[in-house]
This record gives sequence, C-alpha cells and structure tokens, in this order.
Amino acid sequence: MADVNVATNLLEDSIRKSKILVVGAGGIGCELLKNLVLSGFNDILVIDLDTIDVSNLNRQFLFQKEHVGKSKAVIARESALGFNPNVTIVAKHDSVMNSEYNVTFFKQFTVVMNALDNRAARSHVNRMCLAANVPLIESGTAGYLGQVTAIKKGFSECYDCNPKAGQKTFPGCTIRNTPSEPIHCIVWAKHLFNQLFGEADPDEDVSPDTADPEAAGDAGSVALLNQASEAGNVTRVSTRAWAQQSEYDPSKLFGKFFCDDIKYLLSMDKLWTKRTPPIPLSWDNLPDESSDQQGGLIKDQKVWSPAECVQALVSSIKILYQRFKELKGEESFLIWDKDDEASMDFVTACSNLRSHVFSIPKKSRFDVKAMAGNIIPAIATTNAVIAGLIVFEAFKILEGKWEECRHVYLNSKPNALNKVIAPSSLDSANPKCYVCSPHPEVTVLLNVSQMTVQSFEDKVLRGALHMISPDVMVDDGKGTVLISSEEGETTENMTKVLSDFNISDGTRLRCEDFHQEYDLNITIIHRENLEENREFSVIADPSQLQPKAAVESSGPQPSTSSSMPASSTKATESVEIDDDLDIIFQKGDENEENQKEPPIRKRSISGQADIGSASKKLRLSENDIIEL
Amino acid sequence: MVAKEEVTISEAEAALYDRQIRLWGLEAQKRLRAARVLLIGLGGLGAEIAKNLTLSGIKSLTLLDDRVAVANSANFLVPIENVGKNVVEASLERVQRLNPMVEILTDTENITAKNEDFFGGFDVVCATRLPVEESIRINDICRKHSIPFYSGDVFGFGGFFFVDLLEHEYSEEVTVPAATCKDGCKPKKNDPSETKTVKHVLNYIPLQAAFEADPSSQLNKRSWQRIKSHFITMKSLLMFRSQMKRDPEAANRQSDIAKLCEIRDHILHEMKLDNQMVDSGIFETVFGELSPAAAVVGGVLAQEIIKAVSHKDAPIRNHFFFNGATDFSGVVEAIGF
Repeated sequence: MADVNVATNLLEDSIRKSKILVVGAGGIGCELLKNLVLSGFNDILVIDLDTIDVSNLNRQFLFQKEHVGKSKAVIARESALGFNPNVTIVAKHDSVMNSEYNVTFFKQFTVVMNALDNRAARSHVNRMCLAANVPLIESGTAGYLGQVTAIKKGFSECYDCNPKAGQKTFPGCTIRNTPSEPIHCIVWAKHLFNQLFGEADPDEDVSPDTADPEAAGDAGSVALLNQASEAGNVTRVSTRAWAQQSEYDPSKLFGKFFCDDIKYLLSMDKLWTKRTPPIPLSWDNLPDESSDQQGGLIKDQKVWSPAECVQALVSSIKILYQRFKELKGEESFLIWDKDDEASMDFVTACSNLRSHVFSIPKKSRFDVKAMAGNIIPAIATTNAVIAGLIVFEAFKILEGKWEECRHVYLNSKPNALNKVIAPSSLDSANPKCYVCSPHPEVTVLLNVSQMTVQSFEDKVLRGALHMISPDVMVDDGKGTVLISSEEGETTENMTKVLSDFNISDGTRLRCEDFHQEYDLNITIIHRENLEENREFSVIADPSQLQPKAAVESSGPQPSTSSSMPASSTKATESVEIDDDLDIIFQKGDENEENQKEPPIRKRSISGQADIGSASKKLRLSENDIIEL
Repeated sequence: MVAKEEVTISEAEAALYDRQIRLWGLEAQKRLRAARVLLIGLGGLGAEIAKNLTLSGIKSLTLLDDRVAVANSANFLVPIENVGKNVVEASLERVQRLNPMVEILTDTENITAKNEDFFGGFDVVCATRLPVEESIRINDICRKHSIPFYSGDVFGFGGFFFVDLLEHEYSEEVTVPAATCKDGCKPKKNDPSETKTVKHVLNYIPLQAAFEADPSSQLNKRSWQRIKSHFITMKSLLMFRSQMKRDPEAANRQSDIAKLCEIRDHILHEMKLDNQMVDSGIFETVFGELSPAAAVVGGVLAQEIIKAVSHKDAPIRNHFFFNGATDFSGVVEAIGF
C-alpha cells in the first residue's frame, strides 16, 4: 500500500522515475526498503551477501525465524513486495565489491543508499559513486546512535575525506608475555585458534616472546631456554605440527599453554619485577570456585571456573579437531566464527584460563563474544529513525536541492540545542582527500627492508586503502611493475621486500585500481621502527609529516573528529578488523562512553556559530592521519 | 506499573534479544518482558510503534482502533487484500509474525466507549489519531492509575508527541574518574574510570496543562524561537482535527490550508503574539502521513516507551517535534513547567 501523499507533484514524479540502489539488507536496509516502497519508489535493486541469523530478528523486521539461513536480499525483497506488489525490486545475494558491479552498473541509478556494516564496502561504494558521478547517501547506526549524510562529487565531503580512527592494536609482547587486561587474553586465544586450526599467520604467535626488549639480557631465561629445548617443551616447531603429533591431546595442549609456557615466562624474571607474576595451572588440580552469586542471569552471562573452562576446552578441541581432519579440497583450515559454538567455547575457555594464570578478571562467554566478535549492539528504533532520515535526504536530492542536504546525527539525549536529531550542513570536500581530490596522494610510512610486496598489497593497499584490484608501478623512470592485477604476472614479486625493487625513503609509487577507476600516488617514507609495533602508517596529507608530533598523534587516542564513519571519541579495544564492525562508533562498551555527553559534533545549522568551531579546528589538525 | 513478579529470560529469548540485551542490559529486558502496552490508533505512526515495541519483546500489545483499513496508507501492516476490514484485525497477522513471543491483542471498539477500569490493565498507554480532548480524558484516567501516557501524531512530513510519566524514577550509569575516588583509593593503571549507577526523579505535568500552557512567556527567547513554529503548527493541526472532525486532506488542499491559517491566527491572537509570523508554507506539507516521517517519530517514541518501562536513562520531557520538510531536526522541549 503505497503512500502517495507526498507534497508536490514534482517530487512525486521524480520519485516514480527514480531507480534506487540499496546496498545492504540488514538493520537499516530492511527499514529503508519499507520506507521506499511506501513512499512511492518503484524501481529498487537491493544487494546483500549475508544470510539471516537469529540475532538479526530483534530488528530486521522483514525476516522471521523460518528465514534463518536464507539470503537477506531475497527475503527482504519478498517481504517488501508485501507492502506493494506492484513495485519492482531486484534482489542480489552477492557482494557489492564483485567486479560485475562496475562503474557502468552504478551509473544506472538515480541515488545509491548505503546500509552497510563495514568500512571496506563503504569505502568501495563511495569510490564507485564518485567514479559514476551518482549521489550517495551514507548511513550507520550503533546502539542508540546513528547518522546519515549525503555525498556528491565535487560538492560535499566523500566517505574518505575524513580518515577514520583505526582499530587499536596491541604490541606482540603484551599478547604473548605480559597480558594485563581481559582483551589481551581474548586476542591471544583467537591467535591460538588460528595457530591450531586456522590460517597460519606468523604475526599471531602465541608462545613466549624471547625477543621482548623488556627481558633483554636475561641470563636466566637463556639457560632455561636451553634446558627446555632439551626437554622438548618449547622447541620452536610450528604449534600446529606439534599439536598434530599428539592428535590434539587436550591435556598436552593444556600442559604447554597454561603450564610449561607460563613457567618459561616466569623465568624471564625481569618481566615480573613490577608485575604480578603468572601462576602456572595444573591439569590435575584445577580450581573450581564457581560462585553461587550468579543467579538470574542467562546461561552465557555466567563466568566459568577454571575447571569449567577445561571441560569446555576438551569438548571444543574434540569437535574442532574432528572438523579440521575432515577438511577437503581447497579448504585447508577452519575460520573462527563468533556464531560457531565450538569456536566460541574454545576462545572463552582459553582466554579465561590465561586470565586466571595472570590474575586478570575472568569474563563470561557473553562478554567474550562481544569482544572477540566485535559485536555492535543494535536495536530496531535507531535503525527505523535513520532509515526515515535517509528518505528525507533522498527527497532533497531528487528535487535538486543539494544546498538543503544535511549530515544528520541521532543522539541518545538532547544536545545543548535540545536536539535529539541534529542536522548540520554538509562539509565541502577535503582538497587533500586521497580519494576524491583531483590528484590523490598519500604517504605511507614503513620499513622498506621488512615489508614484503604481499604484505604491501594485502595490508596497505587492500586493507587500509580499500583497493580491490590494484596495479602498482614504481616511479623510477623504468616503469618497474611491482604488482599487477593480472593473475600470475607478478607472483614472483610477492615474497620479496620493497627494498629489493630499489624502493627507499622518498620513492613514489603509481597505483591504479581499474575496477574502482581510481588512481593514487603513494610516497614511501622509510622508518626503521614505527610506534606500537605497527607495520605501517598511512598519512593522507604529507604536510602533516612533522617528524615527531604528527607520528605520535597517530596513536589511538580521543579525537574530536566528527568524520562520517569513525568519529570515535575513543579507540576500540578490539584488534581484528571485523566486518561486523559498524561505522561510526566503536563497539559495545565504548558506546556507553559515547553517550555520556550529548555530542555536538558539528556546528548545527540553526545553532550559533561558536558551538563546534573549536572542534572543527581540532579536527583539521588531526584528521589527516589514518590510524591503523 | 510493571508487575513485580520475577520474570525470567529463556535461552531462546536471550538469543533473539542478544543485540539489545548487550545495549540496555538483562534487567531492562526483564522489565520490558513484563510490560503491557495499549496502543490506540493504527495509522502509519501506530504501525511503526507497534513494530518497534513488538520487536523489543514486551509482554503484550493491545491494538485499539475502530476504523477500517484504507488503501495508500503508511500502515505497512495491512496486506492489500485486507483493505476495507477493521484496521487492527487487518494488521494482526503481520504484527504477530514480527515476534511470536509477544501477546498481541485487538480491540475494535471506539475508545470513547472505554471507561476507567479498562485502562487499569495496562502499564503504558500510547494514543495516536485522537482528538486532543479525548487524549486529555485518557491522560487524566492514566494519572489516577499512575500509568505513563503518550500521545503523538504524524501529519505529512512531520510529527510530534507528548509524554506524561507523572513522577518517574530512572537510573543512569555515569562514569566516575577513579582519580577522584572519595575514599582516596589510587586508580589502577588499567582502570582509569569506573561506572556507577545514579538514580534520578523527574516530574511531569498532564496533557491539559501542557496544551493550554503559553510557552512563549514560559520559555527563554531562544528556546521559544526554536519551537515556535513546531508548537503553533501542532496546536493548529490538533484544533483543526477537533473542529473539523477529520484531518487535513490533500483533496481539499486550498480550503484546508486556509482553515489552518485561520486557526493559527486565532492561536497567535490568544497568545498575544499577533505580531509574530508563522509561515503558512508550513501547512503545505501536512497532508497524509509520510512513511519516513512515521518511521522517525515512531522510532523516537517507541524508544521513549522502552526507556520509561525499563527505568533506564533520562526520558524526554515532555514534547518532541520533528519536521522533515523544513529543518530536519528532532527537538525536545519542556512545555508547561
């Protein structure tokens, strides 16, 4: 039943003639499809690669229990047609990043509406819309908070104009040697999962780190290392090969990770002069201090005792090892998934056992899941409001009233101007934006003799700069091809380091992404070491590269930045980039933080000029550094 | 208020409500699980509120409306084949499908036939599409029974709602920097702040007092300027409804706008604000009920009900206005205090 009571015939007409792309059929997408159909839009394409999970049903109201496991796009289409069977909705169960959705594909739409939950896809759609010159409405929610903005090439800020705060990473020695918070143990447990069953990553070692600078010159540890090697306990064979020798015997795994490795860490006694030393656990004598004061909670909210952890460890290892043995064909490893019972039990058990060893407070499975899986709380009402606001922005775009478009925030409390829904004018494009400026430039700090071409492609170009199929040429006058998007052309380069191609401090690289129709010049700055053990750091505006100050300010720290996607006031504690990560605000615990003060992030249109100008200045001085 | 019996959350509910329990906590979810809500009026705004509350997992939702479902409505709960039937009966199946764990009840009687006893069985009453006189009557009954009361409407591109929570206690988590710990304890290295729960009480006024108040003299100049056109528009529309026994219709666009201007001028005159202008252009966009406007107002209103039921976080006091045709902001103002 379409609502055709819109204001003017002109608007009605442009609604009827428009063709809309809705990217994402999740929390915002479901609400948005309803609003579009009821407002008279009659030509819509919805794309989503995801399938329906039971935890979606509290807000993604186009789905019911019987739809669990099915395609979100397909079911959303079916349900939305129930509101008006006469409209055309095409559903694609696919990734919007697939190459068939090229610039020509994007050009067919009047407006593109993002209803996404991850930065990589947002950044990609942003580039496709810039290249196709199609207006984009970007949006996101986290808990009670949400925002909507409109992006038009050359008129307003694009998604990448304001680099986002990165996810917090932890130094390897904190994870491997000296954890002090639950999150350190959870990260370690996820690494352990990958070491035993997942994709092997040398950066995810879980054994004691003998190169810890804090323990340097520790004679005792060297002695013990020799002894231990003789005993065969901490010999550096791959963790997986070692586990396979014993067919993943839980008691042996337990003995290594929660007893022998801990004893080894204790021998690095410099680490424990100012810290509480860890206490190795014994398989035969596990504390079982399960408290009775956990009544009234749901099962997952109860905190396991070490004995309960071991029970869960034994059963989860059994299941995971069985699955691991049954892997066939191209699948050679398991992928950790927060929604998989055994994977989640394994990480809960291991992280809590490690917490116990290090006298760190233990966490319930419920809390571990939030931290390990980067879960962003989500509710129906926030998504409903944001989806409504998206349609109002679309009305203005269809009427050509770009000057009336707004960046709108939904706050959890009225702000200083009594606004729960607070619009602010769109910012103009950042002239130094590494995506939408006429000649995109970026500076990357890294160690040219350590960074491999493979890491450069995976972590810098794809991971941080969100490219899809990069081609890279060294600007050395010879046209040396570093990376080619043609399969197989540069395979032999991948394991080499950048300095093997005479890339040094100041070298320029020409990058091109054919699919995104995006060219980018990268200047490499060589640094022996980057702070916080980062492998690299991306700086959007080279003038920001004041030798020290700029680099130091790139750490995860409170920022007054109001940039669209990641205007965090505090960096998240999570480590992995997870696709469940919603844009704007960081995960669960941090949200509470965000709500404390009703944020006035930008100058409100009807507000007085003094509000927000301070934060705007601060933003200019900080926002050109992408935190990674 | 919410029954005091101990509510337990099953594992199935924990899985379904996972993402919201992570936001508002298990205690709030238990309180929601005990709440019986009466929703009067099932147009576009009513449908949004019904959807949001049903998804949140309240105990029961009673839908009351004696009108028939019409075509081209923003009520997405009515399948096209049910047009012409009573609107709550026409919507029942889709509401129930949103969440089988919530009890959905229907009532097709006219609200004016309902006496005091009827309202006593609810923990929250929310009214839409009612003449303001009827809303005032129900609000007064709710006050006698200490029942939180909401009334709201969407007209075209915008909408508003009023809330009366009587005397409302709520808790709020605040972050206390550990450095300022009263007992002089030293902050731990990794625990720079801690949260503690603080209780607050807010007092509300009845709808009649709020509706008859003169915010132009009560509010400071800046606040009045901010809500002036919202307030006058709301009052004009509600008085139009009472006088004409219907809402403005696109079919009578010009004459209805003229009538609204007449009412507006009368209101301004009564408030001795004849010299202040409220642009008549605002009445160009009050026809029908736009789906996105219903989504915005219904989203904020339902979240306020959730807040009130769970006694968690500061609720709005006591008006909310949204206009999607002019300034796109959602403004809160305490009127009549």
